[in-house]
Amino acid sequence: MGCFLLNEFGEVLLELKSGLRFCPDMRLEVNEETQSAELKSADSSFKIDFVHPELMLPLKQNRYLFVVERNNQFYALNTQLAKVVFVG
Amino acid sequence: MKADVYSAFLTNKVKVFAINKDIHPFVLPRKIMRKVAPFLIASAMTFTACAPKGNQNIDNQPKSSDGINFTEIYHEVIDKYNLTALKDKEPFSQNEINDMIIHNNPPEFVDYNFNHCPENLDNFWEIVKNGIQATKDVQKSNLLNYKQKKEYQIVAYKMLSQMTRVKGTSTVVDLSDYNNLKTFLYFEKLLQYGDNYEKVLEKDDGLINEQHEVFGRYYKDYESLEQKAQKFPHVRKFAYQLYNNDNRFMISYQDSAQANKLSMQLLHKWMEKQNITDEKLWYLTTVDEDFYANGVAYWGLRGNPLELSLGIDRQGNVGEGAFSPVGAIIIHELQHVMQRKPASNERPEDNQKSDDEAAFISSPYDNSLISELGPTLYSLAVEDRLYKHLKGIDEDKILDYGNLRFGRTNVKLGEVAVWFAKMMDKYPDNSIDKLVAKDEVLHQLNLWGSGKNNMLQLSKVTER
Repeated sequence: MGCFLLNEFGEVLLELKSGLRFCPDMRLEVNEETQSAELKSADSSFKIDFVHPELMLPLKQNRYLFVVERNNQFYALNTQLAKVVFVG
Repeated sequence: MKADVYSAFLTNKVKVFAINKDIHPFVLPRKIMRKVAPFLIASAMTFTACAPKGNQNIDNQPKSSDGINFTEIYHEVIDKYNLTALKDKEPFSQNEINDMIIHNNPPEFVDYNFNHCPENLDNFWEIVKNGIQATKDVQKSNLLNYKQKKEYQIVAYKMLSQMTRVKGTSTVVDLSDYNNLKTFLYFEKLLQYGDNYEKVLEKDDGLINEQHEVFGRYYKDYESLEQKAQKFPHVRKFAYQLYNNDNRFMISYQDSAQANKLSMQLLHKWMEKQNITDEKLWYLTTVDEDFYANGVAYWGLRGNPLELSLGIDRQGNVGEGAFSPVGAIIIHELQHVMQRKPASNERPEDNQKSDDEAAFISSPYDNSLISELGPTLYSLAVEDRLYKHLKGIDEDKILDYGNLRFGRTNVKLGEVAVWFAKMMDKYPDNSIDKLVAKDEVLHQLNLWGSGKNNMLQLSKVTER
């Protein structure tokens, strides 16, 4: 269900399964070595097991990305800008 | 080339990635993106669920007499993914946009507030239509060159293509829609600043942020080189001796005018090969007045993208009486820009700090010797060839520019120059660090750096 998508403006969009709390302090911690990431906020986190290696550079170049949550009807419920931080 | 994923967007290609290893990235081919206003598909796909599975061959889509029916693709994407938010909206067709540009008829321009707020529908169209007129007006400006005028046209077209209107209406647009607002703000800025290119398109000479296509283009290659060079203990020694030897600046001031001219031609060829068209990547200055001249200075502040400034001495003065052709210096410094990892130095723990504490400015001179190795070898080889061209000397001849000293052994700079130029011919890669990381290259540099007796004499040394 989830995907990363880059549009023509170089914006990076990360799509997730529903159930995540959208908070203003949301950030994506990317571990380049393990090719994984974790979307974190003060009281919740969501682990992404695989981040395609080709995405590392655009993620670094953007530093912020749009996180979108949708339900099973493919309807966008929530969107939020999150900060991208590289760890590890 | 991995680093081209980002710049691919600048060439109208969209790539979709899944977070599941089993789903391969999906690419909308360039030939399709070129024909359709790319924003149309991309904005629709912004809300797609995941990369399409199965047959990825878009060419099999139903085609109109024009070849491809893009409106059909757009609506198919919306229907397939049930994109509710987009269902009630539709983009303007290409013909409508052309018509908007040709038969513009703008209303009287009265909103000089520039308050970044579309007050109502009439106000929205007042700004957009007068903005279209302003795009036409700047085409007559003497302050802009051909490329800049073209860029005004392209950006205006792009902005218009992004707009959406309420379905079933001709000009009713949602004023809270992100893309509509972006279009409004662009044309408002254009009306305010007209042919002030830097203000309208937000470009200053020599200022590059981490979103620029050259920033970090080959940072992976540089990281691999750093790692691989650790297995060759004498390479760092070689890099130190080479970088700190000013004899490598072999062209004298007497030849500077001609050398600068030739080096600028070389720069343009290099940019063409690298597929770089932006000629505002550097600004011209002097080393006497500008501490940051001939170096890359990085600037970062929380909330802003990492930026660098690139100033080049307009005469080719590299300090202490040494000269290097301007074009060669620019290439050298841009090679450093391509090495730089495009992420700020901000760490998760910085979240606890104030904005001022999290700010950083790094030295204009990178202190990593390995990062200097490739660009310095490149400069040496290129300047050696320029020198020989100016003097009418055969490029394979080894000239005496002085030596690099390793223990009791001397290595001739002229020999290194000829050898590395041959390596550049043998491995014509766009990434300088990828070339230096070749086994053949690292072995030779390591051997030289070890001070043991060196390779085969390439040819006889000739006095300059």
